[in-house]
Amino acid sequence: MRNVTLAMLGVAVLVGWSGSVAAQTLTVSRWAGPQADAQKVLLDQYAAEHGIEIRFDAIDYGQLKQKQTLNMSTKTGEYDLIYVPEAWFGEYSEAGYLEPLTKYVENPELTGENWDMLDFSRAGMDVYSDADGALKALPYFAQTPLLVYNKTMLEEAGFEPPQTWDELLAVAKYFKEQGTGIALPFRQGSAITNVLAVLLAGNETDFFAADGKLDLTNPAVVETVNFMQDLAQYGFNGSNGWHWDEVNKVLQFGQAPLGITASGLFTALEDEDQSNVAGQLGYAPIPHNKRVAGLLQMWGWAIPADSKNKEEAFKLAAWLTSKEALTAMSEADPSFISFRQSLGSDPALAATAPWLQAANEALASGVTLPLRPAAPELLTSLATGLSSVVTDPNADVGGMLSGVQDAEAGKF
Amino acid sequence: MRKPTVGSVAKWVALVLFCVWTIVPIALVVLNSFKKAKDIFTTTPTLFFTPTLDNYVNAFTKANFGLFYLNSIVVALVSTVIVIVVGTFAAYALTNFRLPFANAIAGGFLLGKLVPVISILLPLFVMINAIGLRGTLAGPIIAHAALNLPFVIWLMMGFIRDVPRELAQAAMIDGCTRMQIFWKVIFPIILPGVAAAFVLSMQYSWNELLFSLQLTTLDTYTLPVGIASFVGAISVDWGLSSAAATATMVPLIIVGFFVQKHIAQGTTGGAVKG
Amino acid sequence: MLAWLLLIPAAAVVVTVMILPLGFALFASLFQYSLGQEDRMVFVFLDNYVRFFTDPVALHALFNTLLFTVLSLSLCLAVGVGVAVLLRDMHRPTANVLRAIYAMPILISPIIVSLIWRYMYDPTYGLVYWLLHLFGLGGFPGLTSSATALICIVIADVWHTAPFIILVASAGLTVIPEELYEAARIDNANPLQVLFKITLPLLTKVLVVLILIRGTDAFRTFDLIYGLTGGGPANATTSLSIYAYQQAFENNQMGYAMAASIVTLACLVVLFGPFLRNSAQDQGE
Repeated sequence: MRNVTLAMLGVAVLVGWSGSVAAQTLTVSRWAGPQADAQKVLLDQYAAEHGIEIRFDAIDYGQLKQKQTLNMSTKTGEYDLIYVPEAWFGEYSEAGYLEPLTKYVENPELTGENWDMLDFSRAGMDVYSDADGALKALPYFAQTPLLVYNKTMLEEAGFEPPQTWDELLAVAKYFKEQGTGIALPFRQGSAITNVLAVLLAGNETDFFAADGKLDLTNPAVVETVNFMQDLAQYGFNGSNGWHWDEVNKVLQFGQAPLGITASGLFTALEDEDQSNVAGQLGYAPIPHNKRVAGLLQMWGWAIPADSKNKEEAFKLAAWLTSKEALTAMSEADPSFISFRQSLGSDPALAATAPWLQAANEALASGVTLPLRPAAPELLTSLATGLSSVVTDPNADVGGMLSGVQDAEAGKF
Repeated sequence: MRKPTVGSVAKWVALVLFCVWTIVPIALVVLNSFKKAKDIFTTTPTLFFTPTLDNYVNAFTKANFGLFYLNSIVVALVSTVIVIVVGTFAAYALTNFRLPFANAIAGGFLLGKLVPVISILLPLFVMINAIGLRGTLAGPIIAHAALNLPFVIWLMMGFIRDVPRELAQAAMIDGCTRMQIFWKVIFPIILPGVAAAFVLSMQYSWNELLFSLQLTTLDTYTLPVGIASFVGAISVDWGLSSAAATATMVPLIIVGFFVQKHIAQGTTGGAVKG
Repeated sequence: MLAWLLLIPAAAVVVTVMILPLGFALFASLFQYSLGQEDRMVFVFLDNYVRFFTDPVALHALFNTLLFTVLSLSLCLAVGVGVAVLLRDMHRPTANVLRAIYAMPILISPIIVSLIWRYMYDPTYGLVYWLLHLFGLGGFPGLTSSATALICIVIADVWHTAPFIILVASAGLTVIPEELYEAARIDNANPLQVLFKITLPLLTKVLVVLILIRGTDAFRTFDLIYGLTGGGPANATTSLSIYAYQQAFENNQMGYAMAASIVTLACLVVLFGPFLRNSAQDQGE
């Protein structure tokens, strides 16, 4: 008798339990950090307003792709909305992980009233469409590497903000002789190839020739990498082991007069509590040889094909990319730049984000990293090669590039 | 008291230097956890600063550290208990019964110690998901238990072999069954080994990141997952990371302070006495 | 019968979690495929292995891994055994307190260790450079030169793992009979003779255990390298585990990554198999 009662109690508990979670639950996957903290506040509001539960799974960036891939390839249905950069998009889309959004974006019931799709910059929409033109992610957050300089230190030394390679070398050389130098993200990794991509565009050349073949031995590419090698000689002590984050630190705490770092990390630079130089910094596109250039790096929201709540997930994605939510996001985290053209010139946002003009200029002429299927391998090889030439002023740049060319050309 | 010789002075200098070498990096993190960012990033180390608890408040509000602690304790304890029970039984079977191929089986287990984790992550993920355990604490528990098992079996085999045969024989004559012999005669003698296995297995599980992150979901993350989300972030908040690191490592260091003797005795087990 | 019953749980765990997945990895290593595109798997037989042994980056990673293992292991053993010997004939309670202090790093997680050492090695804020500057050595390239990066990681690894050797070697030393040292003293043997004639020979078995435990771990080091250099500069610190991880999850070459990790396993078996056998046999006596 007692057992029966217990069993009934158990059932009751179970039923009660499942009853309490019957409200719709969405699980969101992204990387952790200041931007995620700001976003969580917004998502909590949305959840409260719409009576749903949002599980916000923000993890270490280094483990994110692994976790997303394991779940989507195994079709666990764990995630309803994932944060995807342009670099992973091709692979995900090719593998059939992502739900095409074409029919969702045309449905005003899902997008909401004033969700204006044409307001997104064309570049973002193109990158997140597959070969057949189907949109598979909503562009959300854009960033580009920029030059950051300490106005006070440059003025004291009698320099104007550098705009060309020669000017940059002169400034960096001067400061190197003073014991500092330019802070560079020249660790073997993704940042150094990002900088290369910007410099290549600034030299009016590319990884690939017009016919789409890999073309690393072209003189303009060799010239660009030679410039990186020269610049590295004037690098702030430690630069060759740094990622964006370390560059930020020496700028933020006033040790470095100038550096190259990613616009998505600028918030802390101007935060009085965290920065010794708030208000003293200037921002500009990375100096160029022939034309101004930037790198269009982006993150967007995609719905995994194995999600069980696609419509609800899309509603959330549409809300996240709505003007109101994007404005709120930029207010909470000024380094957040969206793909909505109408917000690019918003004076209220520009006031808290002194880099906005430089970022918009760089993004407007921004190129994307190579996105073809073999691109990750190419970029890994290049990162290694670049790391070898910047750490050794006598290393043979031409030889390094033709080595990478020979190893990777067959894949393109 | 002997007169200090050059040798003994040199020895003391070496030992004290080694103390400094051990403590300073840890002390640095603990100090940083009480500093504001501006005090962490100075070109000469700051020893005098206005301490702040902001980093701790931040760490505990940004991530659900209470839950992570609980999960870590459950995962570490359960996987350790499984490893010890299963491992000790297997070691007993391999040593005290004249099993055919006992050596080959023992070797097979030990081979498990050499498997690179990346080769088993994907298949394990698929399996755990297929039996519906993905997102529960069972995933990391099973993974940690399996990864610790080879070593624990090997450790316990050394200890059990050292138990004098005569004791077991005497008990058998008294009419004890094999299991009674195990519990009454062998187990009390191998307790130091159990203690060592316990500590080493707990240590591994407490610090393991890959399986604890990939086989779980939001509600079942452990402490290393929480720390990684600060340390591995695109932009590292050092004060916050240091606070999280301190909160995670200090309890373990305190425990370790008291049990370090067991780690030593246990690991050498048979080897020392042999 | 009972013996098999006792053995089954352990066997079940090891077979399901290690052996079966390993079998899968072996199988996958014969294919060229990307995760999520299993329908487009191409059987390439041993091509992935051929590729591994003809790829300079892979061979470099293999070399780095060996170098790292040898350096880290020998330095750890030298430091660990050295300190243990110094502690041996010390006033008991003092030695115990010192050992407890030395034991602290053992229990710290590798992610935290790399956090600590990233800060230590920072040329602007780190303690290492602050000290080097005091001695006028501020130009030390540290983690940023392919010549010195690996040794810097080794030093951090020694900090983390030498304490384990101290503890275990200390325990090993306690059972060496005091009479042997007495005899040596009467013979006027110098400390080095004592070390090489008495201490080390009698410590052999313990050393084998330590080489086995530490060596296999060092060979598979991932977190520390990933955190400190990410494998750079110029691949100078790329280890086999870093390489396999990059292939699997950055380049999405699952088959090749599995081949790389099978090669890792094979190396471990070749290098440490003899120690495994030795210690198994010793125990079997």
